[in-house]
Amino acid sequence: MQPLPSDLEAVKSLYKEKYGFSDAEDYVFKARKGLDERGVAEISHLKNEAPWLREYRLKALHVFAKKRMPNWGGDLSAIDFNNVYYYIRPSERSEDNWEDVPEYIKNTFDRLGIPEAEKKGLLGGVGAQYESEVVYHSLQEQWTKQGVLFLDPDSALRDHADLFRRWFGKVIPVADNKFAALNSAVFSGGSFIYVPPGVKVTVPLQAYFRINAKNMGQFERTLIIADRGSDVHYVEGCTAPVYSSDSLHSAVVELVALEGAHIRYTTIQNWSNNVYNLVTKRALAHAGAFVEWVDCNLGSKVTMKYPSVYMVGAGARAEILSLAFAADGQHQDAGGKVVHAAPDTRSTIVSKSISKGRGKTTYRGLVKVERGAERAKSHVQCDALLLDPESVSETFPYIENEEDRATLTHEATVSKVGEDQLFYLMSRGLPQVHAMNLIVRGFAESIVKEMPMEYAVEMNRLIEIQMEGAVG
Amino acid sequence: MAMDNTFEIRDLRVSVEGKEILKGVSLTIRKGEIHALMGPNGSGKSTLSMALMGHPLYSVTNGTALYKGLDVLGLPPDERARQGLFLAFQYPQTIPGLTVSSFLRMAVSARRGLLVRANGDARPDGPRRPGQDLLPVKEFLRELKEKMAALKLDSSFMSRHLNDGFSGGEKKRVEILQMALLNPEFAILDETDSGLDIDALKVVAEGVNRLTGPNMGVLLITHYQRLLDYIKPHVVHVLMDGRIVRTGGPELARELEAQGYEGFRPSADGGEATHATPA
Amino acid sequence: MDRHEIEAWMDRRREPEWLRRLRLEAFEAYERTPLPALQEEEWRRTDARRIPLGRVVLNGFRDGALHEEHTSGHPAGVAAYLESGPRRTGAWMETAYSKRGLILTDMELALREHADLMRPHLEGSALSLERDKFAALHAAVWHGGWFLRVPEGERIEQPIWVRSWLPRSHRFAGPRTLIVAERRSRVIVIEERESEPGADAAFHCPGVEIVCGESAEVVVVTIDRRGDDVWDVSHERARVGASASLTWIVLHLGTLARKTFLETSLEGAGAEARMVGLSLLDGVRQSDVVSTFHHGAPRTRGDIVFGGVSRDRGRSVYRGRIVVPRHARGTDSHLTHRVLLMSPDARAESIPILEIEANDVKCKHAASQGAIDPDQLFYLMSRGLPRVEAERTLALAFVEDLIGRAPAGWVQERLRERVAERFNR
Repeated sequence: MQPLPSDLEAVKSLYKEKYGFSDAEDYVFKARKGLDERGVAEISHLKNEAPWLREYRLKALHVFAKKRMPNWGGDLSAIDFNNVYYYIRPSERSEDNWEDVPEYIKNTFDRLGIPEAEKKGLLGGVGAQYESEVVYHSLQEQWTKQGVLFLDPDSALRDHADLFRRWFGKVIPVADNKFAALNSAVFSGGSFIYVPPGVKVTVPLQAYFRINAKNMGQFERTLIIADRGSDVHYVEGCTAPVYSSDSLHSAVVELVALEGAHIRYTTIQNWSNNVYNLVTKRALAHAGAFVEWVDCNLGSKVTMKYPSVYMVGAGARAEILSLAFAADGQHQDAGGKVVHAAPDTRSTIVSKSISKGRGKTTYRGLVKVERGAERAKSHVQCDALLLDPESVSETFPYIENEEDRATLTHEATVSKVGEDQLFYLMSRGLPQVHAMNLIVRGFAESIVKEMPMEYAVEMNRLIEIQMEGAVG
Repeated sequence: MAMDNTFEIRDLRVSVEGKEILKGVSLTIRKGEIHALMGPNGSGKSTLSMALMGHPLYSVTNGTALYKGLDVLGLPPDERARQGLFLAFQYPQTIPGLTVSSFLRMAVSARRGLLVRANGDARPDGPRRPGQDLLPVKEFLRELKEKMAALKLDSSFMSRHLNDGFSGGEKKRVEILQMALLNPEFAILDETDSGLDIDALKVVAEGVNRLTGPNMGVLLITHYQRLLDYIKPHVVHVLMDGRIVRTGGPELARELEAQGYEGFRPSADGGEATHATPA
Repeated sequence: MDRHEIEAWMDRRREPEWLRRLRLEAFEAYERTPLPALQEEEWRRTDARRIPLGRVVLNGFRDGALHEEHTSGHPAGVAAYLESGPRRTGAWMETAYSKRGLILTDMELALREHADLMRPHLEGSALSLERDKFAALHAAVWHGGWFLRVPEGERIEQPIWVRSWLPRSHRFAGPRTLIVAERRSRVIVIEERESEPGADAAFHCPGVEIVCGESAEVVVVTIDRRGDDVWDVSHERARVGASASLTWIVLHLGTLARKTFLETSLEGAGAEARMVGLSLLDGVRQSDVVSTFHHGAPRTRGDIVFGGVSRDRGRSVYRGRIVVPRHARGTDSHLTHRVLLMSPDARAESIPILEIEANDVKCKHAASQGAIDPDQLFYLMSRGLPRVEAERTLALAFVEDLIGRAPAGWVQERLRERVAERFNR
């Protein structure tokens, strides 16, 4: 079989047309580049924050300075922390009426099709973040009446300070890793969600993240608390313009699922190929709770992200579905972590990764069973598909077991597209490129099918764009 | 009363993961009798067999199963087996790495009191030289080959791993082979006919017929009448929703075949199950 | 230990110049290389600072052991037999084979009689043994061990058996094993490693090199039953030439703590290697094994099954890598790791790794960990086996599933016997 032509430019221009445009900068506030105590204090000051949070940020800055860069995973050597804008405020405040959002930002999101789904009533609430701040936020009345909160962190700190402070930083401490410390120092924007006991939010809440400026750093912070027996599905998407110099995205996402609660967190990451995407995501699952991460990484230059679930209550469940697609120049270092710290906990990790051209995908995962997590069960399945002779795949699963009554299984495969499959499809008249497309979609299907219809359609389209270089 | 000749189940209630499956089952089997237990899927047939053999997931909440004046429900499964109770499993376990012959030699030795001390205690977990407490190998092999031939099992099965890669029919024949070697006093055959084609069914049925006799009582659990064409029961019970709703002679099986199980469902006001005394 | 001491030691051993040079280079590497830190990926679970390096002495072996011909007393059914140890050693070989150039001899003697045959392999391997401080130590101070050479085209039907033995007095050992199977040769070799336990910790730092020439068929079986006082860091490496086939069986029954590197390089097109590993851990013993299959040529095949049974406070770490660089088209490689945990204090870690840079490949790995299956246990108990007996039977079945992958007959019997011995202890 001939290797398929790989055309980086074709993919880039497609992305550029669809997501990669940029707006002229007309900001209320743009901090100078670089990172120091003054800059951090300034962010806190601009946000009118309480002293405790200001102290928290400054402490985090020191931890960040002390922590070493990870010596594993993606190549981060080109990141210059002094060449990043850590805070840009595009507008005065977050609006709850779409019409009040500044015109040029509105245009951006209109072009990306963001408010469409909300208008159609497919979403329970929408948040839109542009650079460092949330510019628009809304939640349908049906849910506000039942006590659901869906806010940006600044508003949450202002109106629900106790609730926010009780959980903030409890799942991911400042010193967890260098990038969690960075986020803790300069975070801005993101989502705060609280779902009261027993409330089941039946339509997804969506947040959309947009980087516009060159050399921008986006550091949103998301905290979701699902109280006893409640249910919520959160979806996030992200894009950025294509620039020749790099941007940095480093979010921290903390989830707390109290007894019997269910959280599903879906990410469709489609940053442009000049974004370093270094994100820490972790959930606590209490007794009988169920946390699902559906994590799709198609964009970015380097992604390092391993959503995790700590099952701290008996009978808790975790499911991590990870889909990664790396084309030329991309490295998707993704995976998941599950920690079984209570009896009768169950987890599943399914990872599908596709490498095209000189793209590199890495699955990195951890299954840890602590002593006393009797009858814990875990299964991990990782499959990697290599489309071209120069494509690279790595699999690093760690399995640590302290409990003899646990059952752990892991399986991984790496292969190219099956010649028999390809031949079969072509024998039905499909040209090779289309056959290839179908096979890749089929490979990703088990994860894509877990998404709500609109997102599944979007995902398939993104996969097609990633494949486009091959089709062109 | 000659207690040694009966296996008497009284008001047995069994729960699985907190859900009551058997809601008071009573039945008495005498040596020399073959009882068929029929019932639709989910009626509790397999629960009865697992509970009688002592599977830890099946918790007995009430009742007794008396045998030789002893309530076997209080015994660990291995002790029940050594006392002469046998279960042919519906889904026999596959154990790679364990050959059929070394497994059977150990099981036969246990049944014959060689693996355990006279007082019934298992030997302590200490050094045991290979073959120390086992039936002499020659004697065992002679017996094994003879029984295998009777069940039309090729002698190559001896050195294969237990049920590893066996067909459905082979697994069931190996279950009956175990029954032949362990020579039980009461045997429960759980859906021994399921998954068998007609030839395999005949071989298995012939094997069972050869083994049964005045010294063995049999409880034949089955979903279909088909097996009863080859093994003639003396008594037929119908189990529905965890209770025996009818007991009768062999004609009851034919009645079932003709009408299906629905007609046997107890009425909503909780009609009592009838307990016929076997002839 | 310093350079002068090593030089004096080499003088006493009357070692050739080329070997002196290798040792001194390795010693320099040893001195400049720090101990592996816990942050280093391959040393995350073994704290190198606890390894009793203080045991290292240079006067361990009698300089140049002598062979004693085993005119009688050699085991039946073998082609050749060697007892290798620090003092006088014994050997026996079927006359027909010795006439045709088969060599099986103690390393000390081999250095005198077959230096020309060994030199290219020892020189070639010195650098690879510099991968960490312990490899450098081994390359500097190795002594003892044995050498096997199977001449081109020679097919040895019966197994070759080696017993390596260390008395209590030797608290340090660094034996070197070199197996050279030349083109189209065929051989099965079994080594049993034993040592007499002492009151305090011993330190062993062995090195093994297996060379399979083009189209050779080689089976190497290591049964390690060294004493439960031994801290062991070993580097073992096999090179497999074009169309050659290696079956490497490793049975770990002894030592207190081990850090073992098993590297297989498939260097020629169409090379094939199978590895079967099994470690039985009991008491407070621990094992940390890193295995690497490096597919360095097109159309190579690899198959690894590594198993572990941990009882008491036994702890195991297994890291298994499959590496496929870009040019290794048509690679087919599988790795399976299975662990049976038999007590609440037993621990296990599996880290199976795939590093794939070629797309025309089929690579797979699987890992599983768990206790004895309760349904299997019930099944055996329902046939009258007491619980203890049923558990033992299931553990041995788990082991047997691995042993069954070794060559049938003599080798399997030997493995079974040794496992049962340890298991019934």
